[in-house]
Amino acid sequence: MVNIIEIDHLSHRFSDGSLGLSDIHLNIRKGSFVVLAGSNGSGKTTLLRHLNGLLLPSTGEVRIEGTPVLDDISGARQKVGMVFQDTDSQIVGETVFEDIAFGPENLQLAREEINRRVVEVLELLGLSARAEDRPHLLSGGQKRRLTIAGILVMQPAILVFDEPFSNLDYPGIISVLRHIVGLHKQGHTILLTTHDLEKVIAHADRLLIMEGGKIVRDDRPQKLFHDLEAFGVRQPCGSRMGGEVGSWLE
Amino acid sequence: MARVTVFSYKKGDSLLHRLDPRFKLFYMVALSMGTMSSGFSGLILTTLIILAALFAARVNVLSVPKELKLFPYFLLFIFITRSLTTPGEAIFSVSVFAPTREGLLLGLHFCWRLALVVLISLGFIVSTTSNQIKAAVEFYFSKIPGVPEKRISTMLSLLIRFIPIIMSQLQETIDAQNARCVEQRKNPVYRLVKLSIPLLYRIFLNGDQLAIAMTSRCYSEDRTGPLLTSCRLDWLSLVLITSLIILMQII
Repeated sequence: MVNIIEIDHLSHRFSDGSLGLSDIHLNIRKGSFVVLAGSNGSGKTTLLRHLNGLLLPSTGEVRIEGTPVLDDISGARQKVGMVFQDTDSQIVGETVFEDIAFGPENLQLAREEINRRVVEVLELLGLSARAEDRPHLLSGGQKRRLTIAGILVMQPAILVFDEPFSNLDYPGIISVLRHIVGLHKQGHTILLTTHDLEKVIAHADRLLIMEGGKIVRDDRPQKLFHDLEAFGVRQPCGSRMGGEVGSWLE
Repeated sequence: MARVTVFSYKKGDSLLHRLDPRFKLFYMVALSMGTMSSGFSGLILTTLIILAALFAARVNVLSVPKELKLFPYFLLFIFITRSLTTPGEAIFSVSVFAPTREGLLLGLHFCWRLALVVLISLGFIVSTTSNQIKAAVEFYFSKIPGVPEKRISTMLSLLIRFIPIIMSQLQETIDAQNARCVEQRKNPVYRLVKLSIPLLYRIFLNGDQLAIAMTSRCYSEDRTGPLLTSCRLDWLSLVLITSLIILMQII
């Protein structure tokens, strides 16, 4: 399978001189489900923000489907849909429908096409009944689904989730997880950061662990469970007990 | 669940909701200006029409004084000041305070006009989404050369969108400080400073995050706007509102 994300010798230094990323070399295959774990400040979010040009490399290069991000930032932002941790500060519409339409409007699509796409993702994310509601009145899980809808409507190939389960109750986590797994089955490449592997790791085919701006482990999840706590990430409960780590959807 | 404020869009299919936002924006400005030179009869007529429109849009008008906590006190202050400072026939006299009949009428007239402007604005806000407001503002500013209409309309629509969130954060900050007995501090300046710093910090942080999220969704000033189409209802309402404004000045 081809690499959809290619990162060569990527380093990023912040304006205060501190090093955010150090010589990252990483390829991600199309259709894979990758979980990025690490303690606070390990560089997870900094790495993700290089995928669509929100941050630019100090050295090195990021390519999406073979095209360097720097050569086509707008194209990278269409191909890499990013869901941020704080839902409230990324919802811009007065209604659910308006918020989902924000991305396609920026792409200057025709109004009929925008409406068609919005109706499609509303259905897909189970938000059709809330289309005319005000977003800030939705539950935590619905808000997260709204932010996913807001990027899906731009038809990205890669979906990037930054801590998608934070501040969600149990039904909210299950609902969001079910949609993420469903999107992976539909062929999207998933890249997800989390502190809490328990909820999602059963569905991932690759686990990356970051520390100090570097990728320090990269393997199949089951092979890395015993290394996790050395890097400030809690080992999943099933693995601690010496068994399998099951899916939260079962 | 976030707090619901009456000063935000409320979905519906009322007459107000069906009007073109460009017409509604014009009506809001024209009616607000019209009230400034209108007599009591004009104010009564306009108030009845606005209340009927708000009632049809299922807006809880009674919650407005609760929402605008200081506004009724502000009106009361204006009313008292006007009644005491306007020369005329004194109704009664206590020490140096002698409210005049002319002052009471002038104060009542002024307060009524201000309250009516609030109700007119409420009618616009509850029936118009921020995207429609943005499109309407953009439409009018585009007629003025040298004005960056797209940027102004985007800022305005985002401001309206974020008012409920800012209010919610304000309440959260107040609650957090009350939980730490801030009311024991009697100095209002101290309390204001302690309230403002964390609130402004969160507002700026959210603004920053919003800008990043908008950028990642390919934000551009050249975007597909909502389709604005005027129909017979809009033109009919234009005739009626224009007639009302003229009538307000006559009666």
